[in-house]
Amino acid sequence: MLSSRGTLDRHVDLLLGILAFPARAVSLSLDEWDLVVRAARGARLLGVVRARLERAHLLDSVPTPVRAHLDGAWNLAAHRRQMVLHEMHAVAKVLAPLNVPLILLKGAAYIAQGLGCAEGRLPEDLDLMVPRERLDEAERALVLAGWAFEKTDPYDEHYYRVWSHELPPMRAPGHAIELDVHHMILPPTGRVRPDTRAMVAATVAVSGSRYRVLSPADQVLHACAHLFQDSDCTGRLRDLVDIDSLLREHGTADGFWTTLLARTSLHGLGRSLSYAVRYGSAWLGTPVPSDVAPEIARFGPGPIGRGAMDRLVGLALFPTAPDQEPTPSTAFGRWLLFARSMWLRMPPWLLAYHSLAKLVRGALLRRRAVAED
Amino acid sequence: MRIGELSDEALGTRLRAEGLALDFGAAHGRVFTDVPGLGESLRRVYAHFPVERGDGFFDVTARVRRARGARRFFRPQVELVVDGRVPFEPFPAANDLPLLEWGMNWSLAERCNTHLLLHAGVVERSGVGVLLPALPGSGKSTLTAALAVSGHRLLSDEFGVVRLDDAACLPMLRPIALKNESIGVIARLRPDATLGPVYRGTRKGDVAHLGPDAESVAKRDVAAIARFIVFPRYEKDAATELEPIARARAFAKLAVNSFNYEVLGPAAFDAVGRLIARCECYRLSYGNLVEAIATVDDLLSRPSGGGA
Amino acid sequence: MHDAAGPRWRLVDPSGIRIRRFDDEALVFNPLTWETHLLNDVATRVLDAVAEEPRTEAGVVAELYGDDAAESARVQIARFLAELEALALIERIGEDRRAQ
Repeated sequence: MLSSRGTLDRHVDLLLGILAFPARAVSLSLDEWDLVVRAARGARLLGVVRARLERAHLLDSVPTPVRAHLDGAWNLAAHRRQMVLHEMHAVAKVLAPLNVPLILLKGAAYIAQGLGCAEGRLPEDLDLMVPRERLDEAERALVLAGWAFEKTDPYDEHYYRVWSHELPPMRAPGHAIELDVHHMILPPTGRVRPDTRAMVAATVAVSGSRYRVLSPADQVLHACAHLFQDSDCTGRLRDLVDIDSLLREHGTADGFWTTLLARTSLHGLGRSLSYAVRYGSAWLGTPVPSDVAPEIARFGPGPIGRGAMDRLVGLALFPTAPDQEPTPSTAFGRWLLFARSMWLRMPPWLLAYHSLAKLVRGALLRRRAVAED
Repeated sequence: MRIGELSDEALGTRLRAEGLALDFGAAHGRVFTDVPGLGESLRRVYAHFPVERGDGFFDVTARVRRARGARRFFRPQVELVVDGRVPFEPFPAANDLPLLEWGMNWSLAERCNTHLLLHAGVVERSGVGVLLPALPGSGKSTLTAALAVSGHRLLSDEFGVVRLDDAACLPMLRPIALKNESIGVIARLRPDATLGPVYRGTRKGDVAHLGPDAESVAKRDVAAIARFIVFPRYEKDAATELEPIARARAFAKLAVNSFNYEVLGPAAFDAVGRLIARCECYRLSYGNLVEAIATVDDLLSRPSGGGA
Repeated sequence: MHDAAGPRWRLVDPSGIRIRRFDDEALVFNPLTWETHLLNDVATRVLDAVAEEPRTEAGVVAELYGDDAAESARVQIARFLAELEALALIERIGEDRRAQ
């Protein structure tokens, strides 16, 4: 049974409520605002709260001391946005002359497209997708231009290059934003493999820029896959909020939902989409047309699987209460989701190797740390 | 009523149940703790602060508690909890107030992003504000404290809060952390100053906190217009020297000594520009605190205070 | 006048750049990187020359030092232009138009 609003922790209930129904802001007490602001900050959603309130023309109803926090978060988001624009400019200068197709993913795409989804967000990386056959060339050009790999040990680097779908993270000196260069949407070793070629073929150029972005339907599906396949969901409420924002914005376009269903089948991402819609509707009021919702629900797991995910996702997605630390059951739930994400990412034999290697490395590091004490 | 007047019981109830409200001016903090003895230290250092309700909306809510597990008994430690997270390594249990003060400063610095936060002391006298920005080790805190106990209104030691639209300075009234010899220097300068306990063995040596005086607390909502920017530099036995510094350099030094200059972008650039244009900028080298105070006093009483 | 062939220099973002002058020096706010730079008087004049209108290197030299500028002046200007470019304050046009 999906937790109804009544059984949610107060800070979660308030935060979800104001995201889903900004008009609630008008009736919040100062005590409630205190919880909302602290929970939102912890979930990195404070700027998004402000964005939604502004869109609803409700900022003036926010008490002055509270408003300072919303505005502060907004200023932080504005800075991050500019750092992403800077990184985009710098990367394009290096890669555009090589005629490498450049596809932006996630937060950087939202910024480049000027989507409402981007407002108030705090991106940390520039996610760039290039064709696999151009990856080496792109890497060489970036390194030549000053980008360096963030410190990784040889195991991680091997994992990234051989088994994963991206180069190890890179950063140019003095740049605030990390560059993640991918050649596919999800790890190629995972159980679900979306049709990258089809996604690339459907990309859209961003006017006045060298970059392309995923089509609206693919953009939504990528966000769903990123949250429910590629992560352990921990504290990732903001990713669900992104999907909610994308669906609200793209969902009004003609033919969007039909295309979405078709692309979902094509990419095999029905399960992730079904979770996004299930939890988005329940917790954020994501609007889904009544004829489409049952179609999407059909992609979901059976009742037992659904029940299990309901519990896990509820535990893992939400920020901890501002005045408490996580309880043991939350910690276990998060561990389970983490295990699940690794399970989805890698075939069993590789998972065992990865876990073992990490375990050994961890033990070695711990021994070294103790010795140095 | 003032915090200094709270009974043990009333203070304890606040710290355990509804929270002890601390009104710094530009921000409001709230503290919870069950660590014995911390309440008494807070009452000493925040003696002149008004007693306010612990419910409502606060800019920072911090809890000091004993560390869990083995460290509860063996070489006990205390830790700071802010919004469900423990942001720092624990301190030895004896150093509870330094942990709280330091952690509160850190939390304020990271979330106060509608004003420009300079790493600077600010004092005011007769309507004229002086900004004292400095790198650590420059003696800024000692000088700011000395000015504060010598007839200047204190606005801040750690955070020079600058309003973006008009570059006015806002009070962020926090106790001043004095280190090592400075503690004795200030105590001798003003024997009746509100000084908290001396904590030994912190990362910075001995630390004691100078509590803001009643007048500064009373004016915690009163902005000041800075007319002078003075970069202090303490050096033992150095002669007292006040030298003008080029405005462009002063701009650069202010920007570098800031918590959030980069994040605020164009608004910060404009605010610092306005501030620099309005102020005379100096470097003050000194080895004798009393002379340094006299030099600042002298500066403030010049007839034409202010820039071009 | 000195529109010799060759790339011209221009500001990356003329509408967003901010310049505050104090005596001979200037603080410049870079709207792309949000960095602030302290420029000495020559650097400031080079920036001003490029800001006024897109100019070739020769054009900038002439603007600062007149028509009979020494070779050392050209070398100096070239260095300043390179530094301003490295800071992403100015960019070259006329070569690679596909900068973005």
